[in-house]
Amino acid sequence: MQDPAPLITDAHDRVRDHYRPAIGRARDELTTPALLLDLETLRANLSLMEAGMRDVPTALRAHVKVHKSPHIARMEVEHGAVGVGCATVWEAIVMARAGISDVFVINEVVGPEKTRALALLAREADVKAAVDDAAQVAELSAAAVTAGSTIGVLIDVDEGMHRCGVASSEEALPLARRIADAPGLRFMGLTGYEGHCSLEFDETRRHAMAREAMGLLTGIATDLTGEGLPSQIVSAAGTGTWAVTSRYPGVTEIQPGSYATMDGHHRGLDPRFGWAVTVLATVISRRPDRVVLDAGSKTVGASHGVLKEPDLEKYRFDEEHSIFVADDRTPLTTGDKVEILCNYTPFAIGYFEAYHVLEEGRVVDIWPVMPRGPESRWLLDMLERGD
Amino acid sequence: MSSPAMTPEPEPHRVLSTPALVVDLDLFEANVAAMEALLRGTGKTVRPHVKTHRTPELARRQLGGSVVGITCATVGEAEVMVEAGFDDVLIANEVVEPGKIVRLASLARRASIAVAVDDPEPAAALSREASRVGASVGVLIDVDILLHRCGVASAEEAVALARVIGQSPGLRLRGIMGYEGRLRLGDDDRAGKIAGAYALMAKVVDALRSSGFAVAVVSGAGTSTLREALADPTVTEIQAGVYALMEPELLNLDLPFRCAVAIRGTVISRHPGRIVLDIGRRAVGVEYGPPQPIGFAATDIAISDEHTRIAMPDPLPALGSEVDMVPGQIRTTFNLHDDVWISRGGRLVDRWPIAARGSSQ
Repeated sequence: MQDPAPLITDAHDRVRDHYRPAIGRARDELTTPALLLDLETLRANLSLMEAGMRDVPTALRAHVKVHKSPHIARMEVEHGAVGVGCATVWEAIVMARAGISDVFVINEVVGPEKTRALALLAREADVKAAVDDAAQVAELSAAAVTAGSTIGVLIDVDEGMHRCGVASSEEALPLARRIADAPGLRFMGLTGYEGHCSLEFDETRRHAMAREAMGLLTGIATDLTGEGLPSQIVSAAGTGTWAVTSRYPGVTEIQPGSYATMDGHHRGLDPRFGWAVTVLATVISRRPDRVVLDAGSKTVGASHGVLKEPDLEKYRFDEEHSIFVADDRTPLTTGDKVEILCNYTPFAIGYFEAYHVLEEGRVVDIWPVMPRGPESRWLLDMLERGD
Repeated sequence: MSSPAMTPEPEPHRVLSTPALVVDLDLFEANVAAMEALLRGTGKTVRPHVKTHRTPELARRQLGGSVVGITCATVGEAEVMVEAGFDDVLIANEVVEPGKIVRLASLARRASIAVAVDDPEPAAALSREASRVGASVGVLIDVDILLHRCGVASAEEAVALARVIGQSPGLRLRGIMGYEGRLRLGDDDRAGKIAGAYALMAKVVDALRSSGFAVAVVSGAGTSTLREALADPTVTEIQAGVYALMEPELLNLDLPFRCAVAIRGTVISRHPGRIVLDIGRRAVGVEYGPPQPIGFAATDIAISDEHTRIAMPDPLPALGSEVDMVPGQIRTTFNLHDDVWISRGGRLVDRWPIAARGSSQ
């Protein structure tokens, strides 16, 4: 892995300067609301996944859209990930500049700015993207030819979510031929995400659904191979299905993301991974029957969360506040700090610009959330300037 | 500490890239003018809540006539707004952390600042800090009139707190505030709840005045209760914010405001009977439901982290075409973006920074 480029180190310096007073402080001395990252728990999560991947024939591609952290992504590669998955071309640019050479935008990339950004990035990194339409193939090909680069292309397969993706070999085959024939593109294989399985909390049923989805995905791969278009990569899975999908014959890599940071939803699917990311809040008002915290849906996200301790019943989440039921025995008073365990961490991360990185309860560093998005077209300008 | 560290890139872009927020400035200005018309002759004012958009350039255009100050939810927002030139700011929220009290007092040396208080201890800490730096901070006693969030619950508590504040150097008791919360048209006993909330405010005001305290400001309400607040004899200023941009679920309240903001996305995938846009929950707040399409009808809308899937009848828009949607919740939406595009007469004319994005500290 190459060293991070100035894009990353400058951003790191900026947030470190900005939150300088926090560095070295204990958790309870921090200004809130603050996004906390517990380094020991993160390392344990990454080690657990690394150990799990030793026993299976697939590779790990860490999906970074969850945390948007170049620092966490680098640690994931150090723990065995072959590369990263991204949701946007902007994330791919950041991760490539973080020193990660294998970046896959596991999403359809449409529009002249985004395809140009992808093609320019492909001059400096191993760049891949997903397609489900011949028009995207033509657009990507034109962009790659103009930039003089080569983009790896995977066909997005609808494994049952009914969002993006082709649903059959009949749809996939002409698309694969088009990709193989398109200048500037390289047909790399198939990608799918069985996200519908992660809404099923019964493990037996979830695994059965995942196997059915993998049957569809690998069946299409087999059909394409029969037509002379073998897949180098067959990529799938999230944190909810990695355990079964990583063992499914014909799958070559898995693309989970939440295992690193975790949240309430994913702990319900795989409780072996721990809470690495939380939101720190302050009690700003203490009433006889409740406590009011300074973190609400504008920091924790629309999926809300629960208190790490004490175990209090949620009364309501407002934008800037969350309210929990309390009585005179509840050991919380105005000014106290509490951690909120998010039900869905990605939504919280979108509302912060930096992580407070803690080790043994003290802030050891500040890491940027990058790109903050959702739109970061300035990264295209950076590539076009040749910076 | 407050203004974001990761300031967006300096030069304005010529090209919009999706997902992007677009404010129709004609509609925004019409909403602001409609508010002015509603206020005329009432003797009341609105103190626009800028947590709605966290955008100084929009906030600036909400001032004028009787509208002279703004409302913020956090010290961080207030710092950004004072830096942008606003000189009259109410932080309609409790500030208790020592570091924030220092910042608040420091801000009060540069602008007229008021803050909500519901507890004697933070009031004492603020008094000490304001005295130390030679600042004067306005204080509104926060009254829990309905929402069961912050605030004292009774006139007795309010009077006791007023006594503490009255004897605190560096603090000026300006009055009270209370927020009844968003009350939708279909809410059970809506009229009764609003009347009860304002009756409690009136009772607190009476108790404070009979105890010898001047009450210059009675601040409360929001867009959803605007008409009731304008008709109420006690309320003096209204902390509405949404009115200038509007949210679809308030359109049935018969207010003279129209939705002025859209989230613009691109069709990135197209299948029989459905399209997929690059607008996900990482780009739009969904607390009041998914965004709604403008200019076409959908039979089903499903939003996930990075995508909105729209089921609709033919003809489907082409791959790569741009589609506008109205966000259901604009405040959590603005807080996800670095900047907002401005359109006039359907043409993009500018792009303004959401300078207080992320200023939740």
